[in-house]
Amino acid sequence: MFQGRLAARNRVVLSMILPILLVGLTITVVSVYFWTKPVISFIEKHTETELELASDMGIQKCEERLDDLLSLRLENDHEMVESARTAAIQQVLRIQGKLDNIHLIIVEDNNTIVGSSVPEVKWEPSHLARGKSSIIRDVIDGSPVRMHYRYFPFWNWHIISYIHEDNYTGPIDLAKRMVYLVCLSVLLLVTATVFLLFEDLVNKPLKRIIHAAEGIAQGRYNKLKLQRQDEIGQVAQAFDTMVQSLEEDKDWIQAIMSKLKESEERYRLLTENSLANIMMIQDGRFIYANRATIAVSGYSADELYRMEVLEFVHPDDRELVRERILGWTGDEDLVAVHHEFRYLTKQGETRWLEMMAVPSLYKGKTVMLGHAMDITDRVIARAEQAELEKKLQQAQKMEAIGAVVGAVAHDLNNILAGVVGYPDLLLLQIPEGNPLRKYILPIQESGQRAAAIVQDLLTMVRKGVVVKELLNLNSIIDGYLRSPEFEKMKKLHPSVAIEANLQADLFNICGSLIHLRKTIANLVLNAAEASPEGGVTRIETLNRYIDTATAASLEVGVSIPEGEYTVLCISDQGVGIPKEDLARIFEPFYTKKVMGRSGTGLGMPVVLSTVQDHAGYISIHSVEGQGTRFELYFPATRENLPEQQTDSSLETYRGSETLLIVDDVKEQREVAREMLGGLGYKVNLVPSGEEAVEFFKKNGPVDLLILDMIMDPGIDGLETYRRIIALRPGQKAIIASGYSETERVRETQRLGAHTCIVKPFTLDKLASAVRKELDRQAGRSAGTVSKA
Amino acid sequence: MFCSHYANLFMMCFYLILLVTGVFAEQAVPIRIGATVSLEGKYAEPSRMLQDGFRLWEKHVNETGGLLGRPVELILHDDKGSEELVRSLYEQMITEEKVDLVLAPYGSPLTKAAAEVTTRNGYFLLACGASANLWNGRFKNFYGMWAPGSRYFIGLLDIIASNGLNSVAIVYENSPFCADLANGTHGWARRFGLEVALFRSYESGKRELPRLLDEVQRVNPDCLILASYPEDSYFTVELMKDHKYRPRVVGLTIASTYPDFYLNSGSMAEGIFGSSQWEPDERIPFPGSQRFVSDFFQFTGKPPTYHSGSAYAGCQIIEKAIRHCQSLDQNKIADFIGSLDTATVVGRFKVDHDGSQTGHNPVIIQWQNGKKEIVFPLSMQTAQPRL
Repeated sequence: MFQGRLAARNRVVLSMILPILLVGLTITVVSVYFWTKPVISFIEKHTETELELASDMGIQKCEERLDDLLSLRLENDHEMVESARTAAIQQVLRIQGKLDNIHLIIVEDNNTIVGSSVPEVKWEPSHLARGKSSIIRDVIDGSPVRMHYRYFPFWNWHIISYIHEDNYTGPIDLAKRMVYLVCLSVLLLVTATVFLLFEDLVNKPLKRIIHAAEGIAQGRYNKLKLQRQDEIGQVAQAFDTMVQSLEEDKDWIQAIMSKLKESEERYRLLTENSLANIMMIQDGRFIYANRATIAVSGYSADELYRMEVLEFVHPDDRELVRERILGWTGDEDLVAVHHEFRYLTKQGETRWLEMMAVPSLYKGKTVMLGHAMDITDRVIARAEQAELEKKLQQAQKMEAIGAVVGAVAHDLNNILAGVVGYPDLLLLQIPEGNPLRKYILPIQESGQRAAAIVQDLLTMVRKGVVVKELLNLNSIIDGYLRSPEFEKMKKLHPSVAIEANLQADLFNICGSLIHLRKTIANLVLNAAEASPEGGVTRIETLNRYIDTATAASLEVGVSIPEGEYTVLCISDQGVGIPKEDLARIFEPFYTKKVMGRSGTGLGMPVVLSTVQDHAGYISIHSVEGQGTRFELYFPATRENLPEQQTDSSLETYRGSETLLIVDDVKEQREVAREMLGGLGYKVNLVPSGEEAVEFFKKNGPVDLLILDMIMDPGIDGLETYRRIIALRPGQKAIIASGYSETERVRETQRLGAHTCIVKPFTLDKLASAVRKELDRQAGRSAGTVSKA
Repeated sequence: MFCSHYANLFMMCFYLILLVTGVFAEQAVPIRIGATVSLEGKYAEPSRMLQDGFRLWEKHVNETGGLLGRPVELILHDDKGSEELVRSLYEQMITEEKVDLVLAPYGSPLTKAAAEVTTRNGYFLLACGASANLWNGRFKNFYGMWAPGSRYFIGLLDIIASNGLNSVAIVYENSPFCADLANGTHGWARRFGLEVALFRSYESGKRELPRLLDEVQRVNPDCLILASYPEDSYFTVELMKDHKYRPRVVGLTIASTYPDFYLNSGSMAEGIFGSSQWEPDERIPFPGSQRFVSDFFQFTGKPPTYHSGSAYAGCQIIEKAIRHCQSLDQNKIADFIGSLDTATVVGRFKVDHDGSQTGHNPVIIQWQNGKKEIVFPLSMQTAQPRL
């Protein structure tokens, strides 16, 4: 389309005439430069020649008169000589009339003016040399002059011709002006001629061609019909031929144009509206990017086209892109490349791009045609899925372990019921000082240690019974530091100093006292064992508010929700944990210690399980040779602790209520009956749930039902309790289970069996739980779990 | 019958005319004109040129029917440059050979000797080769063709002075012509305000010239004017070449006007001035001049000098006088010549009451690029003088 008028600078006529003007101007300047001097020189020479001519003519007149005298042999005739002098003076002075602006003076004997063409000339002639002078300057009548003179010896005359400076320089100035004027006129004339010729011969036909071309653009197929034989005529003829051809092919062209337009629209629709990022990369730069590409980049199209592709790529992936995508030289037999890499948006966000690129040729050069998709969400999902899969695998692993551990724990707990329970009963009956006590105490201790191991296993597989109660870490630490376990640990590691730095108003947390204490004990023990050379192991607590920024700086592996946390820090100055071991310290049974009580490989998994059960987080900072620092973050609560429960002796647990113990393990039933019977309770025993239901149907309700949860091969504790409460709603019950954290335990608790004691139970725990449940007002207390 | 009678009459008349004319032709006595030329001696070269001028005129006048119906015959004797021989030969030609007219020899001393004889025998004498001051009333019917030697170098002195040169040295042979020239030049030099730095004469011969040139070199004038005959002039040029010294302006007499001067003197001739009574230049507008130059070249194979021209011109004047007087009477012819104011091939001819030439003036020539150019007077100038 020829739209609007051309800018002046774009007009061919000007673009061609301007150089001509410039060349002409240059030639003019050069001409003026080179002509002025010769012209001035010529004029000067001409004027000087006239001056010389005047004096020469004067001399000639004198010589003629002398010739007369000599011819007549009258050179000695005074009268004749005088006459000749007079004639000579007149003839010399008459020369003035023949030469413009030139005056003559005749000076005799170097000081007497005997004749002058200018009347009453005022001039004091200086000494004039004999002979012929050059052009000299002098002042005559107060006016500067140029003069020339010649000597005529017969009368001792100097014939002087002179011209006033104004008349001398006047022609020169005029000549200069004439040169300038002529050069300028020639320049203007040539320019005007060229312009007019160009306008007439080129510009006007071109305008016609342009007008006709515009007409074609508007659908008017008018021919030029220029009758000229020159190049313009040939162009016009070709144009007319083209018009004729266009007319003939109009429909075809319109169809082609329509197809082209359609193709263009399809192309635009396809590329510009494509969800995929389509781009063309040449010489390391974008030469095309569709709307989607521009959108994901955050840059404008102009910004993107000015950038190098690598600026767009994440620094860690630039080498990949440079080698695999940009590095294709065309020599390789490359069909296509497919890569995922990160890119940087204008806002600095790192995102993922999946690109398929195929080499091609564009304008004779290699171009990479890229089709890409932003796969950031997919990559994140993939990572999350991988994490989930990992967690699932871990969960499945733990589930499998849990199933094994659960079964083993159940059986072990049953087995340990006697080992743990009977020593208590025996010790109650054997007085202090009896030598038998020293045999019973190790049995009791071994049983408790075995039970502890079982509990660790249960904790690790997260099947331990968790009691969510308000706690204060300072109290737990304080309790631990005053415990026999701590004292024993100190004895084993005398070179390790334990320092506690506990925040005074530490927030409370909801948790399990036993598990937290176990966690503290494990970490302190690990710290002490990691310090063979001794050192200080510090136990610190503090309140901390974690905001988003702080959370990002914590090396806990996952994001920490913003909020208040109670932090437990245990640090040592020991050997530290090698990096390669850091990732494995929470794996079950992974230990660097000697297997035994302190080397079961369950300590750190128990810590992790406990923290996770408390919705907490662990941060580990360890430097080999310098020590390790564990920071445990527990969600804090501002609830206050309930009033301190007072310790009760066994006497306080005595009662006379009727109890029904349901357990499929005979030893368990017997131990429980011995313990509770010894405290005055009326104890009934049944080996299964079905029999318990029958017991209720036959004997009516009891004061408290003590239910085992797993009773093969009959119904379990839950089903038993359902049937019983169906018979007698509100029947009090406590659960006695090998592990607490099962859905069926929680369902049983929800139905009304609030308290759950973990097998193997001690006399103290069993009596306490029984008494507490018997004393509990209906609906007063949530379910709890107590461990032996 | 009648026809035969008239035919016989016609034939008789025809034969009568042939007879009369034949008789007269056989009976016409030539007009004999005697003269001497120097075939040897210091005047030999100019004298030969004089002789060539005489001979060409003889040829021309006889080709046109002679004078007074009679052919002209030149009787030339060799005077060997001797004044005595001139006297005796002219005496012989007048008294014994009874020549009708005599022409003067070349050279002022010889002319003077001849004038003594012609005055004594009542013959007139037109001098074509003398410039000395011989016209002092001593000789009767004695006329000169040439301007006197004292005026030879007026033009050169004018050129020197007008171009700012100051000094001139004048060296001359102690002979009438040269002395007259030197004295005249000396007077004109002072008149033009020039300093005569040296004024020396020498006796004829080459002996004194080296010393004189040394003296000139010591004075180192702007201009040297040597008044001498050709041999001394050539010798002086050789001396200047040997001395590698040459004043800015050098003026020579006689020799420098010879066509062979440049050939004989080589590059030393370049720039040398000379005084000439006439020059065979085509641009000189004297009547018959161009034809004379052309015929002379055909006649002799060389260009004429002013000596030849003057000889031819002198003969032209005598021819004019005889034709006017229709007589060979010496007095009539002499009176006519004395009153004549005419132009010859060499220029104006006009004498004063003493017979001294006043109508003719010498020209100053200068050798420029191997060619003689007239540089003075301005009216005849063919080139600007180069100093």
